[in-house]
Amino acid sequence: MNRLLLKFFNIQRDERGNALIMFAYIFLVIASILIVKPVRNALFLTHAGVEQLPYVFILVACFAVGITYLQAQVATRIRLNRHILFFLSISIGLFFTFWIIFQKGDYSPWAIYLFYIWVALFSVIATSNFWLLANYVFDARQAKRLFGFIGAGAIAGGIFGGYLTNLLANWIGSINMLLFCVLFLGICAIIVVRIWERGARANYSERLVLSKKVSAIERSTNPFQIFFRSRHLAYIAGIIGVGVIVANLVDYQFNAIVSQSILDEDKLTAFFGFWLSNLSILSLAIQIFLTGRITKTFGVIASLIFLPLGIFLGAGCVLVLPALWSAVFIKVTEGSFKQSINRASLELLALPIPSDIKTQSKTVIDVFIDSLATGIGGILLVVVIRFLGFSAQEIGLLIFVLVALWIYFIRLIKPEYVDAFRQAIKKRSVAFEDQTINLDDAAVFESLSAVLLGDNEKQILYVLRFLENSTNPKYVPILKKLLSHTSDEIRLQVLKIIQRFEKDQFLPEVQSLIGDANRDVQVMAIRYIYHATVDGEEQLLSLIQNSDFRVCTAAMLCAAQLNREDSQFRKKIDVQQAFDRFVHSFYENEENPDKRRLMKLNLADIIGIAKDPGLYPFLQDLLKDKALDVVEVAIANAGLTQDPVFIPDLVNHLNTTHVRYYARSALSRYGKNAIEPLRAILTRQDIHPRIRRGILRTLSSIGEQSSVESLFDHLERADFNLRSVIVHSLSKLRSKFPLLRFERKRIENLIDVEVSRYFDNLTVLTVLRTQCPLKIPEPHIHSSEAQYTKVRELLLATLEERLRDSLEMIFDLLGLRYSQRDMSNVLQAIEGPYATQKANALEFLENTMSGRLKDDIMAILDYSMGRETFFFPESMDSGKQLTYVDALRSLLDQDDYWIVGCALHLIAELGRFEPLWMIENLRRHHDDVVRESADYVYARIIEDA
Amino acid sequence: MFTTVEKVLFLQDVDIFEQTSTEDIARIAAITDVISFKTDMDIFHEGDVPDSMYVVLDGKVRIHKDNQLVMIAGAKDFFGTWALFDDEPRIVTATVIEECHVLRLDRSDFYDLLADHTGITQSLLKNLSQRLRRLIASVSVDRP
Repeated sequence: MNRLLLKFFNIQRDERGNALIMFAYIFLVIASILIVKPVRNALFLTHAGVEQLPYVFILVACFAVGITYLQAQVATRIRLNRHILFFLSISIGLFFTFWIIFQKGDYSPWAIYLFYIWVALFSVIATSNFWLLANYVFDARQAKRLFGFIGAGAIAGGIFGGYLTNLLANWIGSINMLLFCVLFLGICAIIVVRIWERGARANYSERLVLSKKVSAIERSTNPFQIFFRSRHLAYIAGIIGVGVIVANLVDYQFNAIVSQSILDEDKLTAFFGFWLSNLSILSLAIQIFLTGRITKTFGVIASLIFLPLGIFLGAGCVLVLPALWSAVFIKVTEGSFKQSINRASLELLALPIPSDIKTQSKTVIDVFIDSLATGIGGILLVVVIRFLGFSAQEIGLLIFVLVALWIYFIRLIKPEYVDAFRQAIKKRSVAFEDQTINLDDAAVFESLSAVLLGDNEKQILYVLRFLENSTNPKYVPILKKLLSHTSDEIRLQVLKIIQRFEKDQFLPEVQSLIGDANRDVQVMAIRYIYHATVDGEEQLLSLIQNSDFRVCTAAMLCAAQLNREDSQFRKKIDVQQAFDRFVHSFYENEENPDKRRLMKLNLADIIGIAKDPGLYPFLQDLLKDKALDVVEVAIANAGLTQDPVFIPDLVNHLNTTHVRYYARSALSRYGKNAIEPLRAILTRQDIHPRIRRGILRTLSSIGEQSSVESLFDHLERADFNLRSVIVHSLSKLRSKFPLLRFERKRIENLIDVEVSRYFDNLTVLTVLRTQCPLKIPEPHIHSSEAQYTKVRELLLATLEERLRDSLEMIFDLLGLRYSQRDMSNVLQAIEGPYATQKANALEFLENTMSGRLKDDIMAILDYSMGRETFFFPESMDSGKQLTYVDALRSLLDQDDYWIVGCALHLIAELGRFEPLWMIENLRRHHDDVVRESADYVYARIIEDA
Repeated sequence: MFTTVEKVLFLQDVDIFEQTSTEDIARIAAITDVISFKTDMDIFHEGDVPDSMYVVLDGKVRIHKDNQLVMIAGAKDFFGTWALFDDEPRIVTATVIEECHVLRLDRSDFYDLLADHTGITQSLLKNLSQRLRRLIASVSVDRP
């Protein structure tokens, strides 16, 4: 099974589960659609009549606009999984309700109309929800490989659903088919719950953050304007719009002729089911056997003509011979070409459009153009049938006119397409990750090869990204040429691309790169030789034993990569043995310290890549090396291994100057596996404050619920400095991982504590500012007026700074409780210069918060904005009865050690202080600044005495 | 021996730190060393690779280029500030003319500190951008 999935669909082992689940999901969704559509058509034609079809088309268009808008609004407010589950629940409920209504024999017009409209909306929303979810389950690169397999699920579901209806509708009655749909949608709901927990949740959270960053830019452009700015886009919209109108006319013709031929409701359902299934099979066959060939042979533009020409032919048949077979012919031609050749050609046509514009235009096309065209189709039908008296087959005349307009648009778009493609490559605006470029298309090949043979390195690299998954032989001569390009990056990129090409095509060119000046190029060249030659292992082993250290290192790095990726390789080559030999032949005999250092750097890389525990003791030695650059590389590679054995060393390096940052990012790489060991270290009292800070900051980059809990646990017993680090870390976690939970009660308690601290500092500041003399009250032998003033000012400035810091901390905490973006905007407005913005911010808080918390925060803001309305809240002490000496005493009790240090220096300048034991106690404090300041004060007071 | 608070009182006056909070200046103070120089000693020479900035605690230092006096740095004056920001060789020589103590801020230690305390980086950028604004304003005022 694994091999089958890998061979035919390129599905990796770790993707298998999600791919199969998503396959099942789309299978069931499309099967449901193919069950309800025939039932709907049969019910409508039997109980409402074909003459009502144009009106229901117009109604579907109107409802589609409303529902799509509503859905877009819901999508921005509700998390995706809830949104899909909500939709599935509504669908299950509605289909069940319709089943009960029709089961009772109630075929009143409102029920028939509503059922028709709901099925139309359900088909669009259910598939759109699926692809939306699929985009979160798989990243862009996975999507490129896996969507083919998942698309096969849709086709299989279509075939299954249609044939099931065809088989059972006559037997159990078409109405009862709705129960199958209810069952399938129930299974879909279970699938959504499962797939969400299997990875979609994490990706959704990550992209939610990204979308917040780009949404402001996206919102700034009116989506309709882009159609006026780009003729290319306008013509695409024209082609799609005319296509939708014609599809409606064809649908009407088909339904009209079929309903004249088959009168029984259940037989009608079975007939629709049968032909919809056949249509799916035909689409699949065309997609597999013809689409690629047609687009390659004729190019994008000519491929677009197949659908209108097919419809033209079908309409001609219906006009001349209005029989059941001609109706089936036009419907099958329209449906199968639309889903295969035409869809592929339209995708290629949209290729040069930048992805952000494409996203915007897709919304307009899917919602506006589609609905407008459906509505126009309905109106045209009403006009030609009601007022001009056209019969079903005569509608073919209208189709002829529209097909002519369609082909006219196709003719117009050709020069626009070629020009847009050139521009896109020039501006590097084609999103290669989420596209499947037709590299054989003449216009594409011409544009790409011109760039590849040019001298703009950035453009060459950009175009090479398109060729990443290609093995197109047309590009071989160009790639061979690029292997000798002066740019390292280009040579490396080409080597990556040719790994997929037929073996040994590039061997002579690649062999010359074994001694390349760039190490990565060397490694990739050796990797190619290993895969491309029959005796790859022998060649690799001989390169490992090469006398040139650089070649040998590259071969070892290549072996390390293969050792990590390929279990077969591990059986064939003993990397540990090769590593020992490498160390013995080069490293141990080398006496030049510079060369030895260089070797250490390479050895660290080899161990990090190989991930072989047998090599870890050597890396542990490198982590203790004297040279900081060696330690830095060793740290990075220890992080790559993610082995717990390195965690203690990495934690110790959180206190090593110059490599702290690397230690933090290496620990972050461990992800959730690091949380428990780090939490255990945090409980120890004897760790250096810098290590503690480093651990807390590391936790802020690991998006796990246990990171949040660890930070909260530590917050309650942290001093001021750590508190600010922790609150900042929590804030970062909330912003990077919006789905993490932050306990509301806990946050409110913390805000309470911070608010009290704010008022305590404000009290002290007020007392010192008003009561602490501007000049030394009692001069002494060490007193200096200038020094006294400076220290007094320093303490006051520090207290002011603290109030600002506290305010920021309070707003960070409010950001954990309310919307983070709102709180950040409020703080910015309050600290900014604009009175209107300040007033709006206060108004916003007034309406957002409530109770005592609101009163306290408003009082703080009144003070920080210098408003006359400021007063101490009743719950806080205004400090009216305090003296400045009391205020200094209270500062010495604080856990904010910088303030304690400043306060001690002011006491030293004053020359007197009681009780002296307070200072004596501080001389044994664990914080350096407090201890040295206490010593300083003590010495001066004793000397003075 | 100077305490951190005393060092802060000196560093507060360095113009590039005027936007920096007192606590962040204390962090900078914690990585500085107090060094003594005898009269006539050179602290650095023109063309040297820059590695530190200095604040004079006491004594006097003559800053000169090609025997031309640029300035005399006394207590609380600072010199070699740009060594913190670029790799260009020293353009002046600093010679002690009166035995002195200086506060030395090493560039690599300073960068290490910046990596951990973004608040300091922000304050420095703010300071530099304000200087640029002032410079642009003065150029446009001078222009006829």
